[in-house]
Amino acid sequence: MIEIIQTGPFNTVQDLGRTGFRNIGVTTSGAMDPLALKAGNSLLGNETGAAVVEVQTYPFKLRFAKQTAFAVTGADCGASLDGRMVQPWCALPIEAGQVLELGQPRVGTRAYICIAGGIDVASVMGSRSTSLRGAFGGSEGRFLSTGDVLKLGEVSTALNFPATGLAVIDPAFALTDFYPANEDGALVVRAIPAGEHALFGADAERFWMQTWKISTQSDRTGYRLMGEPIKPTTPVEMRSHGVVSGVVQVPPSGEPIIQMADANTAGGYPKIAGVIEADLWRLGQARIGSRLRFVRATHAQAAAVEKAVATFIDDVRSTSRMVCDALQAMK
Amino acid sequence: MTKPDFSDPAIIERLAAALETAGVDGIEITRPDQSLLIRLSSSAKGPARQVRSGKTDSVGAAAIVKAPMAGEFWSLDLSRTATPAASTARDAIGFLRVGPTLLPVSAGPSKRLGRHLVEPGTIVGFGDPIAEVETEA
Repeated sequence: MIEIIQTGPFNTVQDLGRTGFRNIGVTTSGAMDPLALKAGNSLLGNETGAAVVEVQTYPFKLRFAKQTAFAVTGADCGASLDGRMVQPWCALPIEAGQVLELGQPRVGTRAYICIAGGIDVASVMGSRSTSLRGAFGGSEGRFLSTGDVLKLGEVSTALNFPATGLAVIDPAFALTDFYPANEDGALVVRAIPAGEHALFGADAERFWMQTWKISTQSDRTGYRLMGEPIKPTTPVEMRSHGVVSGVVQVPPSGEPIIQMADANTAGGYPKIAGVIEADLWRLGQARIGSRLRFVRATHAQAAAVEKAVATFIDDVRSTSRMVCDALQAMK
Repeated sequence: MTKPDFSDPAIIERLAAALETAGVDGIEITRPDQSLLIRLSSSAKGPARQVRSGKTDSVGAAAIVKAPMAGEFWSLDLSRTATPAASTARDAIGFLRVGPTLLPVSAGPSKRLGRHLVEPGTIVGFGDPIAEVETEA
């Protein structure tokens, strides 16, 4: 078990989300940075989609009630264990009673506390993710509160991590061949033109050319962007239709909205683009007030990046076990 | 019974001679206050010796940290150098890169890094000396 000692609002239990129910209005939810969740779980030997704690308001503090292993992935928030600094993205063994503390992020925005066995909250419609809008899943359908106690899942074959831990190389470094570098401080996000792209005429090009700022009206549901408005050549009225995370809609104001993990299940705004799935984790770590730019991608490019990420995650899993076994054998 | 002083050249010489006589390649002796490493090798030019002796009980005295397994030695987490504010475990004196993972290597309790003994990017094997550490005051 773990006990939450200190938390701000909007910190929740998340896994890879609740798929298959958008047709009845159930949002997918899930981690805003699924790569951090997958890497942490793979490092620990958990199922790739095991439930973790997503932290997006700080400081955050918890106490472990039993001996286990954990890793903090995602944002680098200067995590410390009993006051001792721990390496980011590093799996460490811990004793019962030890206290993990996360401070304000130095890099990124959302940290993921992954623990051996995963967070064992009830699975609702196939997922342990918290649906804040639906008020179900996770810990009683709400964000975590001080004093909450969360159970941990059983560990089938525990890895024996060395006392110094075992870390994952920063994915941004490991996957540098597959992710474009920032341009003039702006995050480069790849997207594919969507259904109503052509309706924007010359403004469509301005969508791709300009740098957008992530506004304060941004959360797990969506990021509202600020910039020079773009408008369709003629006003359009569309029936509401299904949308998914990554869809970039343009409301009448002309400033786009990117649907994120808690994306609405339907909407009637015209869609100008869709962010490729493999780039959503980078948006999940982008700060409010930071800038981004969209660049066109093809379906083939999107598939190639997804494949590279999947290979990286598989490699983390197999190498972690191999290293732990080798260190045990050489004791 | 008094403990032998492994920094005494006469004792090192006697031990090395005994090893040669016995046909042993080397010996490493570690105790809380001292350490001694003697490696012997034969070549066409005759026997060669590598001797490393050190006291480890006093403040500032050196000890050797060895690679816990094979890997590529990194003196720091190169994957995060692009972000100068990135955190690093306080006592990590280096890392071994194995595929997509990094194995932190610590100085040990109450120790601090003296100097690295291998260049960043070097492939090291299990037991290879990678750093000299000193006892903290």
